[in-house]
Amino acid sequence: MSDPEAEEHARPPRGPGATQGPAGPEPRPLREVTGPTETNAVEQVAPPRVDPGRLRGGGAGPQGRPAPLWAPHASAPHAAPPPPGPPHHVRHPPQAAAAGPPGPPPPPPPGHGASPFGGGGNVRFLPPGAPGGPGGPPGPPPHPPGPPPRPGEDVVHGPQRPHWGSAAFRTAVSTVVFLAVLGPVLLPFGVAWSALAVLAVACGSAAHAMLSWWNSGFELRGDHLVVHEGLVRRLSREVPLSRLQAVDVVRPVLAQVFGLAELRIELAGGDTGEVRLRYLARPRAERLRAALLAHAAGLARNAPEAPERPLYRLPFGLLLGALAFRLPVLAAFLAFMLLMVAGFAFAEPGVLGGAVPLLLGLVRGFLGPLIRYTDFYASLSPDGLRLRYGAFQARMQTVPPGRVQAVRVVEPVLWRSLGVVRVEANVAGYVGERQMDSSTLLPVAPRGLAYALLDEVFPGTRAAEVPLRPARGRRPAGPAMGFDDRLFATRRGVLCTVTEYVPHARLQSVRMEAGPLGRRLGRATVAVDTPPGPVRAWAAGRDAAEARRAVDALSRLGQEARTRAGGPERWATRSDPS
Amino acid sequence: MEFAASDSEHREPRPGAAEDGRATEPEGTGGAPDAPGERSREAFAPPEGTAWTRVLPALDAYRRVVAAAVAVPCGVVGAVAAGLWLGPGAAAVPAAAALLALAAAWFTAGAARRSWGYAEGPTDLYLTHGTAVRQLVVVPYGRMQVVDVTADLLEQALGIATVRVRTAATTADTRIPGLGLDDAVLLRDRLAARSETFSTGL
Repeated sequence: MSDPEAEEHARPPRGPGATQGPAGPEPRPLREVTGPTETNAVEQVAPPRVDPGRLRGGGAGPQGRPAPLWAPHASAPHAAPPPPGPPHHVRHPPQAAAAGPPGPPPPPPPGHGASPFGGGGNVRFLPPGAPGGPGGPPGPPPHPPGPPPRPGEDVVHGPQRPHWGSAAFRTAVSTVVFLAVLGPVLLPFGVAWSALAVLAVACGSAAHAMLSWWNSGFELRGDHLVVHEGLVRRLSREVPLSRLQAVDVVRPVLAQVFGLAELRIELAGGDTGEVRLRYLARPRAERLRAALLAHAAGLARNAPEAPERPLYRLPFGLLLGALAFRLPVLAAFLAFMLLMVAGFAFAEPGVLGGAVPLLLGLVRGFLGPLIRYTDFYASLSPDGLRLRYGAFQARMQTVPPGRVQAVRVVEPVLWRSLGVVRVEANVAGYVGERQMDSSTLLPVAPRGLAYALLDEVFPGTRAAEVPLRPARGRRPAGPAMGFDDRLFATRRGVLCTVTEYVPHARLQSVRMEAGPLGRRLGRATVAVDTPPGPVRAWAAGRDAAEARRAVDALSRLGQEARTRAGGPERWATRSDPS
Repeated sequence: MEFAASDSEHREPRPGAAEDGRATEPEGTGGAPDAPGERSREAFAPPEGTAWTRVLPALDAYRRVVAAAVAVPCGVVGAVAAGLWLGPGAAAVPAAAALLALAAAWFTAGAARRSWGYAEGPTDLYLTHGTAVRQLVVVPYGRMQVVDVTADLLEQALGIATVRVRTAATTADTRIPGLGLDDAVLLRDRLAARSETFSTGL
């Protein structure tokens, strides 16, 4: 199991990562990477074969406005004021570093396992540059210039087929499922019969898997990705790459054993707007992912993998602590314990009626995210925000710039003392279940870092500085609404403060509502519609005249932003995206 | 069928004009501007330089027929069921409830219809509706992905149609019912043309 992993670690780092050296083992947080180290940034974006298009805007934005993150020097200009509210109760060195003022980087923590739980040993999807394998020396010196990147398989030209291992994988899966479901039923018939049945099933599914593997394929053809599959019902899809929204590499546990990965391509448009290539060899999947993203960005298709800049690594201890330190989780746990104690004390099995749902809720609200976001690592690259996480199901998610439609910062009441928040986003292309699945950008992160990410996701904005004005007659910390020339923001929630941000360039329509009572009081609700997702920006109880002014201003600002921005297609070729 | 068609034809010339008192409010209000109700009403005024285009009165008939089509079978089934299970006296309750609901729908149909209105601003479509909860929706032309005209059988008989505007946001139900068939087609063409002009990706 650890073989591919070790290989990954041993692989010579590609161009951009090689400059990672002085950072020490822990990927340095955004502020320090981008702040004073101008030379570092330049090197980071100059891999050997980089397409000149990637270097667009190789410096601060023209008017001192920060260039978008996907541009190399993204946040150099706005490294200066750290967003408000640096966490005071940080518990781990990485956090302290993340929120600290820009300046000379702190001495690298000893050993690569800076995460208090030493989770670094099984880091998956380790970025090319981030040192730290099981045997990695602590704080290595700058890497010597590695050998030129391997040419690798050509994933760009000609028809291709998924990895042959996917047939083996499918056979294994169906055999295991068969055993798990029907094994107990078969055993009474005798071992020989059972073995025969299993063999028959294995052969049958192997034949089917081989045939369907042989019949499936994909090809990059011009601006389209052509995918065909299906044995009985042939299905051929031609996917315009300009509509690509996000590309994920997902590796379920069993696929990890085979060294395989699934490529999920999200497209704008409904529940069927997803193409899954199952399964590719992992390096190939990652190269194809890079090619697709480069192509969608308007670069040459064989452009090298875009360089990336580390943003944040979530220590396991903080994840565990923050997930547990929430009112619903604590209350559910307390109630569960009380019920169990009562059940044992009075020998009353009826408590299970209450305890089991509580336990399920705990699994869903605590254990699920805990397992899901183990080894969370976020980085920024010209082709988008990259998230890698998950122990059992390793995922690598790439959200291209401009596909994030709206963002919200969620701050449960207890987390305020920790100074951490959760960041979720509406990403066009993630629909329904996948939206719930993939909308979290940062599960737990210091407040300052969350706002830094917001500034990167919406280039040219300062989310932390949007003036939020509370509704008339409400306490200053209560529900509020505000907008500047780029962002619309609302805040609400008593126990769990939710602050939502929608850039004017992304708003779909603006609404104002007033119920009977609101009309009598002269109040109205202002809401902004965005593509579906967890973020629903609305502000209730605003003065009616103010609400109408806001609606008119939003429609005007939206129009201005849209004419300025143009569409998100081929973002890397534009000289000055908004 | 026939009377309905002739009825709508009879009133055809009306759309476009501000036909009732409410539509002309923004110009002629004399109330104190500070009164909350007044502020609220002003907040739902059409954008500057335009007036709400109201919808056809045939929408009243449509809503009443739909209400009757729902309320009458419900009332009958409810009354029969209650009569069989609980005795004839109980049958009156569902019947009365259905009748009450029908009456409410019948008499509010006019107000509901008068609350609908749209205005085509320079860059956005403004839309207002709702009697209890008043809504104002502003849809930028550049955000319109699909503009539909639909007319079900009853609408066809009454000579009206619904224009429905879809954006990438699914939460917003943006539709204008009760337009004349020709007006609806013209409006759709105008909106579609403008959505091309103003178009910008997602």
